[in-house]
Amino acid sequence: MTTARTDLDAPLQGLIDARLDAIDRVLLRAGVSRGERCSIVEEVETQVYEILARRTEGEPARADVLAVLASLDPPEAYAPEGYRDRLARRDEEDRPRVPQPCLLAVGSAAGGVLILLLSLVLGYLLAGDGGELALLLGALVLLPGLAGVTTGGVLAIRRIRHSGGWLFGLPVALFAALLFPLLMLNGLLIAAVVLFQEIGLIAAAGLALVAANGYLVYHAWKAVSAGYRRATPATEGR
Amino acid sequence: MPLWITQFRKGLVELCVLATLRDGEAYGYQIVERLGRAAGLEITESTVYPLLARLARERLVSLRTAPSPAGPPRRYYRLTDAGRRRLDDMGRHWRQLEGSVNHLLNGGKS
Repeated sequence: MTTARTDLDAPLQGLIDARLDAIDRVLLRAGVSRGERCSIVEEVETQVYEILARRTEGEPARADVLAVLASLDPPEAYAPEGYRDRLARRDEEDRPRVPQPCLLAVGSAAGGVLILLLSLVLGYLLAGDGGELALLLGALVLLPGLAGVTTGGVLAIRRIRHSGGWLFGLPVALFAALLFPLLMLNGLLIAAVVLFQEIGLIAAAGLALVAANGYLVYHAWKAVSAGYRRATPATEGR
Repeated sequence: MPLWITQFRKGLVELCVLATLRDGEAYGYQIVERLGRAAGLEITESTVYPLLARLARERLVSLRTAPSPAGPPRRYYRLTDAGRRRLDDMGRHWRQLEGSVNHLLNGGKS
């Protein structure tokens, strides 16, 4: 918004214009009419020059302009009160949060572990007397649960990565996505190694297993976290 | 500043701004300075300028511009007849309110 010019240097005038533009933007977003915006901004500009004239004899320096601008109310203070309340409520609603699939995956994982423990305990208690059936039932319930954990994890990773930083919990989502595949892979490898029943081979396979898990998790984390940066409530330009 | 003080003063701002124009016209920053000098009011430019714009829209004040020795032209505000009536009404109501509140603060004794 332009107002009357004076003979200030362009960089100093630029500082003042930046403040006036910031006030104008606040008023514009708050829905204040153009006429009232002009009136308010022109008043602020006049005030800046009034204070500058009293503060300095000759040409004002950059420090003078900055001091005068610092003495003014911040641009946000010009927003009507109802609008400030609405902004505060919107900030609260826009606070970064964990996505629902992530919570679902964590819940499924906890439920799955509980079911596994329960079926193991039942299998042990009822050994030879329906214990195998308890283990089978536990496994039947556990498998869809683990598949749910993986699906929830993958969905959560997708949503977090597409949220522009407004959803977080990427490590938890990755954990959920990798838990079942890694368990399956490790189970198969352990079963294959145990078949050979050779101590040296088992020890070497164990170390290889740890290294392979670390390698997989590291690269999976690098892939899903590339380019992701968590937002803060103060982030602008969303 | 505590919220209750802000709420307490909110309704008084319009009365105070109109009152600064009772004895004649004044430009925007002059009004801010007059209000800023009043102890306890602490009304600043971000409150005064939007209010002046609203008062002008409601034709309670009229304005004219005049050159300023300091920079951009000054905008001088003056009460219109409607503005003066509003000021009188608000002043009357304020005095009534002040009397009632003082009465209560004194424990109901006159």
